[in-house]
Amino acid sequence: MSGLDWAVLAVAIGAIVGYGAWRSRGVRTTESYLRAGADLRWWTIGLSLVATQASAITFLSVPGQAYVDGVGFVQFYFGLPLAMVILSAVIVPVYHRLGVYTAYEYLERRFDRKTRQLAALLFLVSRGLASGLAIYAPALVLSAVLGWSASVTNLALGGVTVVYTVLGGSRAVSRTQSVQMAVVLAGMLAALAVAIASLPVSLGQGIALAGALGKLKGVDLSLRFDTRYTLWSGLLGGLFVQLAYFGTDQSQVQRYLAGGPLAQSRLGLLMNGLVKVPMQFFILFIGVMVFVYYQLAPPPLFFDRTALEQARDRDRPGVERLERAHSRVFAEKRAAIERLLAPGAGPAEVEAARARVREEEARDVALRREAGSLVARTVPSADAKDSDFIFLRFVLDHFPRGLLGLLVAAILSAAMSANSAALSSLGATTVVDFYKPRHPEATDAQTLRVARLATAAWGIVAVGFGGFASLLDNLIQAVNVLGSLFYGPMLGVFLLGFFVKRVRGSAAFAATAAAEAAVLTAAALGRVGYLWYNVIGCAAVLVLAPALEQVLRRMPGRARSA
Amino acid sequence: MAPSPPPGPGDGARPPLGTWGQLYALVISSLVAEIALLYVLSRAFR
Repeated sequence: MSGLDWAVLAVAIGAIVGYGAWRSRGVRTTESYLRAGADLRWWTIGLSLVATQASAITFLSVPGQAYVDGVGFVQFYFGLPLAMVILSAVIVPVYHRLGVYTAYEYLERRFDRKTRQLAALLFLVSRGLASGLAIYAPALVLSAVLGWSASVTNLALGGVTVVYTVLGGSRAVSRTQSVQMAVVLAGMLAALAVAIASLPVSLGQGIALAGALGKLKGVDLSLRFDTRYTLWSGLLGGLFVQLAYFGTDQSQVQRYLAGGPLAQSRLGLLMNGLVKVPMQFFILFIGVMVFVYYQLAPPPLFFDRTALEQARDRDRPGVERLERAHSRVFAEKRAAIERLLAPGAGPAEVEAARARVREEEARDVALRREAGSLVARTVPSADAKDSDFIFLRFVLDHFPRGLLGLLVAAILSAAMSANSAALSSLGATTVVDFYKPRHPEATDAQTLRVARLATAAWGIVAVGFGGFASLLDNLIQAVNVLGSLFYGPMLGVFLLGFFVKRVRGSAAFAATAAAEAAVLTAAALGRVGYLWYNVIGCAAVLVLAPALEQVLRRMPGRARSA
Repeated sequence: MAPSPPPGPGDGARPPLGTWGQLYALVISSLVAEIALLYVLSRAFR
């Protein structure tokens, strides 16, 4: 990075942390530490919801995913607007009426304490682990930019986020998120502009080429359960996962349970529902443009350059053989692309060229896969997939001075905003759902101290788990898979509470525990796409709990107070 | 279904524009339009 890049980065990060510190001064009560603040307006709540979900992984991994699989991942978000409508109309009014701090408090009011704490525990485990991944992703960027090891940058970045979250609490989180989103948006607009400006062909030709190579298939109508993203898995599985995420995951619930008017929370959720699908498409489209760029200019054989060089040191003939084959395929494909895009080509010529481009692309994909296997075989610490490095490589090689600093600032902002929200909510859940019920006599000052300590402890867990994240193939999928392992049963128990009046605590508790076991079994067998875990887990709770309730009611001598 | 709570004082029970039903219709129709656009895009460029 040049001096100008460092200056841009320092100004952006300094402004964010300074603004957060200034706006969250005077956090002296548990209420102000655990809740964002009653004076938040809907646009701040909406931005905060978007910023919490859009971690650095979104901006690193999603373009890489579009490079490999096209824009189909956008379907994952189709259920989100529907989830926002349901939350706004049904669930949020209940949380507001009960005046709860965490979503899990509702479960004790509706069922009993053990059900509340089971759900809170599922949240702590899933969010605690996911936070580790979310800190590691930007640490990877820093490591590539600065040339430091990823463990050092993981520790440094995690440390900064933990300190500012521990000090300022939820209020610091929500206040800084709007500034962070502005930096993120500026960074992503710059990324799209650079990607399009780098193309040696017109934007229209670039889009035609992306389409010919199957990268613009945004809607898949097929009814296949083993395909990860289809219209149906997106609408149904996506609805479940987003309902669970925004309705029962405290890192999101804390954003809209600010303690202010109900209408502001509802409007904030609807704003999130309006912007999310276009925003995800926009980020995927950046990845598609990067893909198009590398169809016309030679791409590296493997985008994780450090791993490739290590592999070269250990198996030079193997790497060079693949590189030669890769160059040949690129030249053949480039020639076919020129025929495809040539003005005045007849339909038959276009069709022949398209078939040839696809054929060469399939060869290229096979070569890249072979390179991945070679890297994984020769460098045990490296990964066979390089999709998380694609966007990063493009940025480092093509961004002009100053803009590189802005993009790094955007990625770090996203990391800080999502992680601070997660850590703050982990601290809140630990205190509200586990500490307070055991220590009802604790003073506000004691509770605040425990909240700060819990937030710091979760920060340490997350940074520690981040050290293992390099072993996973695609970070965003890892985060979503991880979430999907826990969200189904979690959503199930909440839906049970809202809609199935006759089920009581013990049946709800047992059904949730059994559903979690069912989801983990389905995941271990690995036969279904992970979005369906959400449906399976939720359905298991909704079917099992009423049946168990029947059994419990018929048991002689059974206490009816459960 | 859980009963809707009565609006509290200063709760801003109504949105600043239109009704809640109209806002929900706006969010859902935007989704439908986006899916339709993406479908057209994927059919037009392949």
